[in-house]
Order: sequence, then structure tokens, then C-alpha cells
Amino acid sequence: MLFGNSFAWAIYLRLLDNDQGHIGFRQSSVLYYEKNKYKIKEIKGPVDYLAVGSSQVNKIFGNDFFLKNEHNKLFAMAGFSPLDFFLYESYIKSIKPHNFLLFLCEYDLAKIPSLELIRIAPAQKSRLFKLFKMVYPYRFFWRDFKKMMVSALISELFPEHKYSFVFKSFLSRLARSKGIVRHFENENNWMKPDAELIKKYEESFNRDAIAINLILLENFIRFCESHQIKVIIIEGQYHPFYYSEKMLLLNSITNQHLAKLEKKFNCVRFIPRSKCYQFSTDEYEDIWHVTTNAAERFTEYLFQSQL
Amino acid sequence: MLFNSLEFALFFVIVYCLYIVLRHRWQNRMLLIASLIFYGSWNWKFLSLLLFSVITNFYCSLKIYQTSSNLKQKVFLSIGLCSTLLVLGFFKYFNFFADNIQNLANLLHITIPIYYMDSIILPVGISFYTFQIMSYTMDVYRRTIIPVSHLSDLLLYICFFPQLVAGPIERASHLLPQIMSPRKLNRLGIHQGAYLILWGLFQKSFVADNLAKIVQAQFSSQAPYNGAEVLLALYAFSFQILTDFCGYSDIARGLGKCMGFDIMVNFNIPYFSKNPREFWGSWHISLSNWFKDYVYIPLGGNRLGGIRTYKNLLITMGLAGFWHGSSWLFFLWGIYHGLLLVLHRICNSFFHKSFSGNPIYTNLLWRGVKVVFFFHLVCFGWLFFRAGSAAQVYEMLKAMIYNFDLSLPAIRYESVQLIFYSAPLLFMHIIQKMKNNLMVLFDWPPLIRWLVCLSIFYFLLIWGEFNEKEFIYFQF
Repeated sequence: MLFGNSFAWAIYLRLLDNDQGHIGFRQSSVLYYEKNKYKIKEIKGPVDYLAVGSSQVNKIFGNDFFLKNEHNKLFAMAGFSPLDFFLYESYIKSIKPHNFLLFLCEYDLAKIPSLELIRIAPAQKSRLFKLFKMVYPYRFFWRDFKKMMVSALISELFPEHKYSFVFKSFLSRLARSKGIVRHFENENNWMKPDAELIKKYEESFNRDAIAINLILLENFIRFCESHQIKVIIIEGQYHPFYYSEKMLLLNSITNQHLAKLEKKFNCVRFIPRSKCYQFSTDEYEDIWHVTTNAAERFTEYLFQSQL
Repeated sequence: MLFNSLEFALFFVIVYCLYIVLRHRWQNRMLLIASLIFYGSWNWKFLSLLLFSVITNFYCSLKIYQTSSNLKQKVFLSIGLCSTLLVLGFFKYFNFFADNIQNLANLLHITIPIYYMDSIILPVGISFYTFQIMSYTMDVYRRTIIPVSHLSDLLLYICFFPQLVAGPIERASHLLPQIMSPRKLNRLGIHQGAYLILWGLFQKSFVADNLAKIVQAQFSSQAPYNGAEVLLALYAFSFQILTDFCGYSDIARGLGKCMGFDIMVNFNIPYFSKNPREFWGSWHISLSNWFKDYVYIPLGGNRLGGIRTYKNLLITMGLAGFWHGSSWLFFLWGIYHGLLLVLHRICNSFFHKSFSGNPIYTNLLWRGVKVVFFFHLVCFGWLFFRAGSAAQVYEMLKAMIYNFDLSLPAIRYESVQLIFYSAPLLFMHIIQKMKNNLMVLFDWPPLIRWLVCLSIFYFLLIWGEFNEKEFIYFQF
């Protein structure tokens, strides 16, 4: 009753919007997803392009140029990573697209997937063990993954645990509305990154994570191959101020891997950053997201020159 | 294999299924194998240390019992105790003493070649099972128990998995008879066991692991500190360490109860103590009793006059502090509590003589003031226990005196968290204290009981941390 209908989710979505800092970005995306998943049945006919990915994908493809074609669809969530390709596979499958558009780069592939995603994703049942087996060889990740399994299994049985962020957010909202606690935001100085800020930014990325994300990505590509779906990987971009030495190194590694995937799978096409429209610094809203106009220019270029 | 892990849940389900279908002797054999697997899951190599200590003490105890010569008894007692203490001393204190000898040599400008063993890993639960084995041998020597004739019985007494790695430090006179005679499973015992497991998990996952974030944030940060934040972190640590350890002990008791064992109570609402004597009668009871019976009383206890009593208290508490870890801060923590006990003895006799007939002395408000005051003294002691170095203790104390700023927004937020996570615990403790019954829930009507359990369960589901965080006392 609390989580099994779109009405309840619509209420949560209305009450817990992200702007007031009651709920995390991903949690907010889950609210949207849960509310809208009941509309899957309404998707009719073949979908030409399904853009799947993070909030970057939402910005890039959530524009008039892309969506005016009613056969193009978008499924994007905050922080959507290759792990989510696995977790949301059945939902993605239900849309039955001809082509997948993935906007991926080192930003997505060199980041250790957040294990919290497993808990708040749709119920996986026995697939959890498939995932467990898949990540088992990567000991550093597997150790944390194993710890998460208790929580993931409890989530499968009790939606109250899976969606505990809803209760937590209500409580946090109540505390803030009564003035018990205040919401304080960090100073936004991303436009003038100094060495310290860039170092802090870089901390989230590491080389070890690439192997895990590639395994998950390959698994997703295999799934696409078996369903005769083409996968178009467009190398992602973010604010050039943050193309530091470490990030460029990670970029060269992930680029090589993505190029190898293109050779390995017939259904994959990889469009590197160099062969695509490149955003200038003034086209960015923040480190990761571009303006709507810039996004339209990008999609227009992509569809007219590359696809 | 932690109590709050998936492996343990599967392990216990298998053990319990086997347990209920087997007969007494086979139950014990199965429990012994299960306990060895449980311990071996951390590091199977350390099983040899455990077995060495048990086997040595088994034979020494038999010899002590069989011989009538006092000298021989003492020799066998010494062999048993020394072999056990040497293992503990090597693994827990070797590098500590080497380090201190080196420091002393440097101070005296003497060159001594000191050999450090960087690769020493502290075997999990060594402090607990060592004390349990020692108590067995000493009890045999004192003729308070008869030694067991089967090694397997002694092994199960030491290795019984619910209490193996973090206590309670059970006495042979209490646990061995339960091992040796058939146990009865009844519905009330199973219900009480299940409740204790739930309550223990609640204490660990809801209270301790959530408060750990506040504590960790403060103690892992660098000076300069804000005194208000330090105080808040100390309050948080006070509840964290209580619920972490008490949670473990309650789960251990619960597991035992489900199998028909009665494992001793290790915590009895210690933060409602009015003085250090009450506190040590309700905090880590099994360890307090051990030190009382095997250190304090043999030293003379309180039978040799004031000064000797104070000296005995300080020695006992200093050793109890050292038991927690090879650091001078733990020793200081023990000495601090020893001083509190000494001061209490001095003040108590004065207050008792002067105010024993005064109604204020027995007034509820006055008792409340004493509880709050003593709680703060305990909190102060936790600073030594939790801090990473003496410099951190100094910086934090300095901040509490010279830099106490309550206006930071983080303080308000952390205070709300502290209240939120500790309020259900305090509420339960108040009820338990008022009724003077830790299992007060079972005096209530079934509907209320189920509602309380359901509330605990839902609090755990929603706000619990299920990330298999290790119990604090595992490091000791």
C-alpha cells in the first residue's frame, strides 16, 4: 500500500522534491522512476532510439530536437552507471528499442559504483547472485559488495528498507520545517577550480573501477546483442577545466577499452569525443551538465552527421 | 563471521536446524565443530593457539586436581597460566613493550637492539578466551570446581561460538554444567532469545553504527577542535560503545537462549549508575567480576585497611585498562576509573556519616543529579579510551575549555541525530530500571509485546545500518 502504486509515489514526489535538500539526487530519480513505471504499458510501437544513462544523458537528450520524434525515448537517472544497466535491465528491455544511445566516458567508467544503488533499484531476486558472481573476481569491490548483500536481501523482502530514504526524508523535512535543523549548502566555486578542488574531484575516480564497470557494460552489450539491439556509445564530455592529468590518463584507458568493444561486438558503435561536437566552456551549466541550447546543437549534429 | 553478517545468519540457521534434531551428546559435538568453524572463519591458523591454550590447561587442571602436594599444584597452575599468558602477551603486548623499552633506552642514551615484529596480527577474541581459560584453571586450583574429564567439554566451554570472540567471559561453574547436562528448549526461552537477538541488532545497527558516524567524523579530524563538537562526540561515543558491546552480548545471550543455554548478563543499564561502584557492577560485568575475583581479592581487597584498599583498586583498574589494549591511554583510562573508585570510597563514608538521615540524600531528584554527574565523569573517561594519542586528548580537552562554540550549524544537526538515535534506547532503559527487570517486555500483555518488537523491527529496517560493521570489542 505504501509503495506499490503510482498514487503513493506521486505524493512522495510532490512532497520530497530535491530543491529543498530533503532527498538525494538519485533518490529523487527513483521517485520519478517509481511513479512512471506504471506507465510502461502505454509505450507502444518500436522505439528508434533509447537514450540511457545519467543526468548528463538527461541534459543531452532531454531536448526538443531529440524528443520531438515520438519514437525516441529517454531513460535517465542521476548517477546512472553501468551497474544500473544490470539493475534496470528488465525495465530497459520492456521498452524494446532498436538502438541504445549511451553517453559514456571515464567519468562513468572510472568511478566505483555506489552500492546503495543495488538497494534502491527494482527487486532483483536471484539475479543478485548473478551479480555477486560477476563481481567476485574483483576482490576490493567484492568485499564491500558482500557487506551490501545483507541490506540488498532485506530490501528484496521489505520495501520499507528499500525505500527507507522516503521515511528519512520526511523526518528531515519535518525537522527543517520546524527549524530544528537548518539546511546549509556548500559554496559553489566549481567555475574557478583550484588545484585542491580538482584533486578533490579526482578522488572519486580510480583505475581499478574501470574493470568492474567494463564487465557490467559488456554484460549489457551481450544482452543487447541477444535482443538485436544496436548500441551507440558516444564518448561523454564534462567541463574542460576538469580535464586534469589524471582524468586524461583515465580517458585514454577507457577510450582504448571502448574502441575494443566496438571491434569485439558487431552491435556496438563507438563515437569518440574527437569525432563529435565538442562543447565549449560557456556551454556548461555546471561541471557535468550543458545548457538546453547546447544540448540541442549537440543532438542536431549527432543525428545529422553521425547517426 | 560477524553476528550482523549474512554468513553468520546462514551459519546459525544450519547450526540451529541440526541442533534441534540432535541428541545432547551429538548436540555438543556439533556445537564444538560449529564453534571451531566460526573461529576459523577469521583466521584458521589461530585455531592452533586456542587449542594449545585449552589443551595445556586441561592437563594442568587434571594434574592440579589429582595431586595433593601443594607445591605440585602451584607448579601446574603456573604452567597453565604462564602458557596462556605468554600467548596473550606475545600477540597483544610484544610490540608495545619493545617500543617502550626502545623509548626508555633512547631517554637514557643507551643502545639496545630491539626486535619488532611488524607482522603480528592480534588473534580475534584472544583476551576473552584467555581469561576464560585462566579462570577455569584457577577455579580448579581453588577447588571451587571439579575439572572436566573430557577435553571436548572444556573445548566447548571455551569455544562456544556465541561468547567466544567478545564474551561474556563465562565462568566454568555457570556454563560447564549447562554443557554437560541435557538442555531443554521451551517456547518462552526461544521467544526471549529471539527478542534479545532483535534488541541486540537494534542496539548495534540502529544506535551504535549510526552514532559511529558522528564519533568518527570528530576523532578522525585534525585540531583545532570545537569544544562543543568534542563534547557531542563524547556523548555519542558513550552510547556507541555501550550499544555496540551490549548489543553483541545481548545477541550472544539470545543465541544461547534459543539453544537452551543461559549466558550471563554482561550489562545492566550502566549509565543509570550513581557512582563508580555501581557502574562497575553493571558495565562489562563478566570482566569486572573476573578482576574482582582473580586480582582484587587475592591482592587483599578491602581487608587490609584504607591505603592498601586504594592501592589494590588502582592496580586492579590499571590492569583492567591494560586488558583493553596495549596503549598507555587504556592504562590511564583504567587508572582514572580506579581513582574514581578511590574517591567514591572516601566521599561515600563522609557523606554517609553526615547525611544518612537527611531526606535529600534519598530524594529522587538528588539521585538524578548523581546519575547525570557520574555519567559525565564516565564520558570524560571515554576520551582516553577513544582518542588516538595523548596529543589528541590534550587538544580536545583544550578545545572544551577554551573553544566552546555552540553556534555552528553542524552542532544542532548532530545533536538532533544523537537524540534521535539514543532516545529509544534511553526510553527502554528507563522502563527496565523502573521495573528493575531487563526482560520487562515479557511482563507485558502479548499485544503490547508484539507491538514493541514490531516497532523495534521497523526502526531497524528504516534507520538501521546493515554494512557488517565490526564490533568495537573485537579489537581487544
